[in-house]
Amino acid sequence: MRRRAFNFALGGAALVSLSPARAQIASKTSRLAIVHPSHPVAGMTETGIAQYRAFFRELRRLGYAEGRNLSVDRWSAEGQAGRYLELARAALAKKPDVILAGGTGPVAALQASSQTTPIVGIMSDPVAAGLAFSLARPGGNVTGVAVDAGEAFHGKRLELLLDMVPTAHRVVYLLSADRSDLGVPVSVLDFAKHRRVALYTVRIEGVVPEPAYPRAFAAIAEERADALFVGTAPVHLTHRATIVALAAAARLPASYQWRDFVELGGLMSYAPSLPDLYGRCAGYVDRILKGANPAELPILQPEKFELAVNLKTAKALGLTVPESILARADEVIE
Amino acid sequence: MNPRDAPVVAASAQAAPAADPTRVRRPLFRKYFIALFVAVVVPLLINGASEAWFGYRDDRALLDQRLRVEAAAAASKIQGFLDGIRDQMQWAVQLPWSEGETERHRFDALRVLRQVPAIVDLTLVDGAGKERLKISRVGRDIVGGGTDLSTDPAVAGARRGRVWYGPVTLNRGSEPYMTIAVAGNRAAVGVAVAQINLKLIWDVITAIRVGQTGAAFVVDRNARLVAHPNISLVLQGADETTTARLKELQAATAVAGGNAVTTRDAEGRTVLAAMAPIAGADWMVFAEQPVAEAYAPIRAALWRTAILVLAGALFAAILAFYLARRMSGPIRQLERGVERIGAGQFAHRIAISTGDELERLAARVNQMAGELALSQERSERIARLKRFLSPQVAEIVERAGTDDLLGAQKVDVVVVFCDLRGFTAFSARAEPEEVMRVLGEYYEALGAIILRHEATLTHFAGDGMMLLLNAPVPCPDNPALRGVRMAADMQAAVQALIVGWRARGHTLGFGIGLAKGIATVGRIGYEGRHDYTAIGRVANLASRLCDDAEDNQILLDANAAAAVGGTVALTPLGTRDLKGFGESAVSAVSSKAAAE
Repeated sequence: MRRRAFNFALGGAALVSLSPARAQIASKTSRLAIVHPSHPVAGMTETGIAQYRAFFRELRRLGYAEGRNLSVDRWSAEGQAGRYLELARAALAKKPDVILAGGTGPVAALQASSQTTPIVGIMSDPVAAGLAFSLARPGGNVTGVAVDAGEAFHGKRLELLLDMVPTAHRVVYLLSADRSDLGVPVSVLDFAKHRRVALYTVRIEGVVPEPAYPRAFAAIAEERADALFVGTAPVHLTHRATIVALAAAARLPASYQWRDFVELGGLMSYAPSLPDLYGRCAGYVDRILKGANPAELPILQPEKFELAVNLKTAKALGLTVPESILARADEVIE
Repeated sequence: MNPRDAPVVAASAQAAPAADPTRVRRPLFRKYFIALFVAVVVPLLINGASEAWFGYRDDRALLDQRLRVEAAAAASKIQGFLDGIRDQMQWAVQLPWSEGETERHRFDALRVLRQVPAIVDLTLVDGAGKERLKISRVGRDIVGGGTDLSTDPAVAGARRGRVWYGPVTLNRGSEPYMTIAVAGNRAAVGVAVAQINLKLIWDVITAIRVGQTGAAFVVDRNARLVAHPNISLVLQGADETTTARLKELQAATAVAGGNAVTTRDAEGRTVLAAMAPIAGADWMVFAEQPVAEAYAPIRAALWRTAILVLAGALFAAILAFYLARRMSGPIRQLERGVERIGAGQFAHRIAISTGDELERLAARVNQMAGELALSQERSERIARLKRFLSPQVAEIVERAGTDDLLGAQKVDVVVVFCDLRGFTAFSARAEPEEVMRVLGEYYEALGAIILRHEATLTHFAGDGMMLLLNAPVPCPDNPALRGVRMAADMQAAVQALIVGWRARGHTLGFGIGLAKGIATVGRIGYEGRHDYTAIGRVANLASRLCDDAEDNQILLDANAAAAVGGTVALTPLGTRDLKGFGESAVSAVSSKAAAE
């Protein structure tokens, strides 16, 4: 309650300084820091990977151009969860006006280091993670988007995988070494039970990508799995090429969270549209730079979901993609 | 104006020292200027004011109408969004629920989800009200759930009215969701129930622009914000102040009966808002525009009118100045001219060429000045003539127009001399006042007679006078006779005075000499002082005769006597030795004859 009152006062101050802030936009250079848990910094540009392209395109539409009135510092943990705090401190040391952070972990690390620097985060569930009071009124210095469209969403991904591979009976859920990666989401367990498939977990251990991932795939083979469910840990995204290659070698039909995997030959992914969400984050960055208070910017929920299917991979695996999947697919890679 | 009047005016104006006769209290220029200015500016102002007022009213009405149209257009777009969902959902309620058709229904449902991104999940209910299929984007799909939903308000509502719109709920306390249920055209095909993520209206609502900075937003029946270009306002959920503000707006709109109402938007700006309802969902769509922007055209029109009025007033001022100047300038010129003419500068001419009555007036004044000059010249001449001519003669001479009559010539004239006997002694003895009094009475009496007989007075000195008849103007009758008669009258008049003088102790007498003959007559003297006189024997003779005459005696020379002989009784006195004339025949007018 106390903190909320404080934040309201902050909000008032921000409102008062709104018009000068607006006037400064043309001349003043705004400082933006971007922290991502997995993607290398090289991809976090206007010409980089899809979501950052969308982010910078939207910023440009709103009147920001890097190098002219926007300076950007980029930081990536490249899949190493242990570096989040270190990155957060380094990012905050640059005294950015606003931080764009991907993933719940980096956002949590940033908020632990600063309760005042506005953070626009792409998080799974910020309320559950204690980063915000509520989606409607976050109340702190964190706003952004909540990628998780509810806990049931993970179960939905398993449902789609089993729709794709109706013959699968033994599914392996790939966990990371990250301590925050606690285990299999409840909805996945529930759905496995509902469809009477055996669900095993394999945790990657050791140095990534080599030898941890090949070792994990060896363990998967030992389980005689006929389908793979790759978990949401950022580290997988960093080493997606390795995972996709190992899955292909093992002839395992696999479901991934992000379409980045499918672009590299992964079978299928289902997730909120990241370019869409990053585009919205750009809108929030703009509003914060113009003086809006992150405590009062509602955390957005995704409304656009992308089912991506790689038909080439399906063919290589000898799978016939069912009509129901094709009917649902937003992107079919042939 | 008239300098001779000025002291009088000044004296009478002493009570009000501020009033300077040369300064006008209410100048014509000012009067004309004000009158002309007012005549132009007042209608202009009235016109401007009425135009502004009616313009404002019309513009306000137009603004109302425009906002209503904007609201209606926005409402139809929102309606279109909902209708699009409804129409797509119709595809899911085409087939009856016979056995083995589940897969077909599933594809229909998947197609609807593909077509309508706003649908989060879609539940198909069969004719009996049992849940047969649920397709979800985020949750598990359920085939053949079998739950009895026949009493579910969505299912029941759709069965009743084909389409049912649920209340707006907040997903996870933030995002607005709504249930739409659509029934097929036969009971057997059942009902489709969809969860709609209303956040997707955002794309519709942000595309709506009301003016430059205005916006449209959607409110449900419970005054909850359903859609707003500022999505944060929607996602922040219902807070009390927003709800109160929207309730107030709803109430105000109901009262206004379709007209736009003035209210405040979320940022506290004063806005004009008009409402259009969406019937099915029971929503209200508001189109709002900041007053500052909405009234900008009205303000611009007012400014335009004001500038026009100002320009008109300026033009009127210039025109009024010019016209007043045209009117008062010549009048002042006239005034100055008349002043100078009044001061005697008759040669002054007023030059006005305005082509109007003022020019005519100036011409008249000029003419008057000319006539005044002539008249003055004439009266001066007459005054000059009158000094030695009787007024009548002076008039004649004057009327002749030239001085020819006064020119030197030889004329047969009658010369009369007269003076008082014993005057020199009297004047030496008597007081000056008495001398002047006696002379005054004497000349007064004689003057009247001289005038009557139209004699020419050539000069007088002390008590003596020389009179002339038949010059410069010829007598129509016998000049000698006229002279004798005049002399008789003079003698009679003076004798009457002498009685009085003797009573006062003055021993005075009066004698007259009269001669007739040719004399040189004419004007003598120098510039500015001329006399008319007769020179010649006859004048001297008359003078001698006068000297010779006793008191109460009129002596005539032979010529004169001959001229009057027979008409006047004369007493021949024989010859007398007159100085410079030798022995001359002299006659006296009988006192008896003189009395006649």
